[in-house]
Amino acid sequence: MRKIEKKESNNAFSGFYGNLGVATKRAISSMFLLIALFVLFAFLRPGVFLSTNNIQNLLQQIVTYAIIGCGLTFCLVCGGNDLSAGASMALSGIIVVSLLVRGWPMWLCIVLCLIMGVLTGIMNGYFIEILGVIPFVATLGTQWVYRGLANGLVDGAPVYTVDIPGEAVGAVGGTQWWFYQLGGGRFPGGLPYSVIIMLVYALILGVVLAKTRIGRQIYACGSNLEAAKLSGINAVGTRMFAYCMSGFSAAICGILVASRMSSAQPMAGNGYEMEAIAAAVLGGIAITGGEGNILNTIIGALMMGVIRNGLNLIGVNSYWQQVIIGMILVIAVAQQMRRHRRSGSVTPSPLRVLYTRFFTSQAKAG
Amino acid sequence: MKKLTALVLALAMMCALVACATGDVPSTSPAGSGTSTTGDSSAANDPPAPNTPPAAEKKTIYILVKVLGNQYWSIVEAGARKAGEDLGCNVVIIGTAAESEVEKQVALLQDAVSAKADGIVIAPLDRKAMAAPVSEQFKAGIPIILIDSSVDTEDYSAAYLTDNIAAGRLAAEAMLTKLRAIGTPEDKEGVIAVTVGSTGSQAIIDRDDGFKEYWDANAPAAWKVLWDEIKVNDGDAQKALTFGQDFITSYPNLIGFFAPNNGSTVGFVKALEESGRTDITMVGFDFSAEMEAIVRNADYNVATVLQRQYYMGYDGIKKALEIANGGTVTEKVVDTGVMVVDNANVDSAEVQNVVNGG
Repeated sequence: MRKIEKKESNNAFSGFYGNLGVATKRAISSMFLLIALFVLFAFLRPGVFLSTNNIQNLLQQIVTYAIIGCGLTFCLVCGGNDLSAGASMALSGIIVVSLLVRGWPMWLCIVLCLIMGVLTGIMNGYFIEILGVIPFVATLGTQWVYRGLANGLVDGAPVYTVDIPGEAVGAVGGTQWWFYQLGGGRFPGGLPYSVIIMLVYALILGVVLAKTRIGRQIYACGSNLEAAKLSGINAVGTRMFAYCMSGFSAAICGILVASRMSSAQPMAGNGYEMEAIAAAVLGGIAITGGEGNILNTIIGALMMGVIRNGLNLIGVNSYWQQVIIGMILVIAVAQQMRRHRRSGSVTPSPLRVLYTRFFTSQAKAG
Repeated sequence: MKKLTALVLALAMMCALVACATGDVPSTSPAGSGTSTTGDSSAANDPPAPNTPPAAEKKTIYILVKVLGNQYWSIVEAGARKAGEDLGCNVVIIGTAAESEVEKQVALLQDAVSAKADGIVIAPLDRKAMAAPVSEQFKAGIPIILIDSSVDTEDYSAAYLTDNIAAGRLAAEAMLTKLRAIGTPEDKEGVIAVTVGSTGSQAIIDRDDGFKEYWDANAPAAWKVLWDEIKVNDGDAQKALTFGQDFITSYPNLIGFFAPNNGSTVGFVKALEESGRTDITMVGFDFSAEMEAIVRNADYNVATVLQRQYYMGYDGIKKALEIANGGTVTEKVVDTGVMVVDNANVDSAEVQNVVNGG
């Protein structure tokens, strides 16, 4: 106990915020694994894996997981979870395309869709924070609600952007063209716009989580909810914000996917929330809350992307890919746990971490 | 109480917003296994309940599609609804959330029987697992019409199916014709990549078998299909797109794409369009908006095998109603047939008739 206290007081952000260091260490160890994977696949498929074209494809392939993952990071860090993200993504896609084909201006459709995303977050937050349903159950329920809405609104049939009224199909500069550019457009060199959108979005969320007041409050809530409340943090509001970020991210993702596929599919995004959670965990986010940042999620998403893409390139069939990815997920996390346990920066059980946090914060207050 | 009001308000807010989005909101279905009812106005939303017997002789036919929220099935549903309107019967559409939910389909079938359906149209999810439940209900005296897929029993009234092996052969034939039409060298190594929705679906297995059979008998030895590297996309078009991209990256000698179901087809079409590879020949299944766009584009060498699923829905309901009204069956298994559509015949009256449901 004494040892841990000492360690924490050495940290620049002592008390609640002492976790940033751990997350960065995990990010670094994940980064090594990522580099190892790059080298492995570059060795197995020389000239193909590292080709500009394939790297651009790879980045485009991780856009969905990375964006949903960034939103989910907020939920995970504040000690919650959001299983409704995939369904919320499908609903957002349906809404934006349904409005577009009714001839509404594109900016308005996008804004309404994003508001809808925030509303789904508010609904999740309401069930969890106000009605006190545990996050797993609440978002499992809302997952069905959003999926049902997405299906019901369009009677189960996809909505196509080719039905957007006005200009000739595919005319450059028309609504259809602009909408397609969001998710499917590329720079002259071949780099998709959506990759830039993802990076900018991740950067913004990263700054919000690491550098702002609300971000630090999220860490506080995730580390020790009771202590956070005692120190005057509006825990309900903070966690509400986290769920809204998740819903908002899902909405962005819904727009990008609908754009790239030129259609909104009511069954889109099935299981994407699990992929996003896996990416976050692979990157080093603690599922118990209070630890991790956006960098972890992005590295995790990259790892998932590299593994998938690499296994496709060396011709491994889908079922064995699942086996391999599952094993890597568990082994990577076990490895991280072991390393940090040994270096003493993470105590073995989450319970003990919580207790220690509580103790140190009390000591500081007194 | 206050909380309850707030909850209702939040829900109302959401519904209001989404209602704007679609104007006419149809009766919706909860994600998994929902019910949406159509037919004539009056008792449309009220399948016969024990206390209120339905008006006069109006029959109620249940149709169990495979997956709700899927483009292929939405066309079957449209056919069924049209039949309901034309023939003046109640049509109740139910379905599962995924092709793997066989157990849930058994429950849905039982529910339809409990609801005193006059006839049941069903697309069985699994030919072995659904055999006993279908047989049991048929023997209990309910007319059962199979659509899309068959089961391992003779206990049903009639079946409206695509002969999927024949459809697979036709797809292979179209692929060979199209490859030769653009002068692909027959002595040079070339590979065909395949992605499927699932490897457990009998329809997909049959199509692959038909394709394989025709291909092995007729294709030049240098053209190989990558059967060992078949990719499973779980019906997610975006996953299929990823596989398509990676196939293109991985095989410089890729000459063709084969996709035996709708989701796979959409993904591969997108992969072709994004990469701009007009030199890759493709044969897919079904006629989604994506497929229509690429078929109409003369730069691409693409064909699709069209099923007549609208008629499966329409004729299925029609036949069920006939039998419920005391009719008899003359032809037990009807092949609804397929056709190959490409740039040359897409605007022909015959194709348009099938696409738009006659």
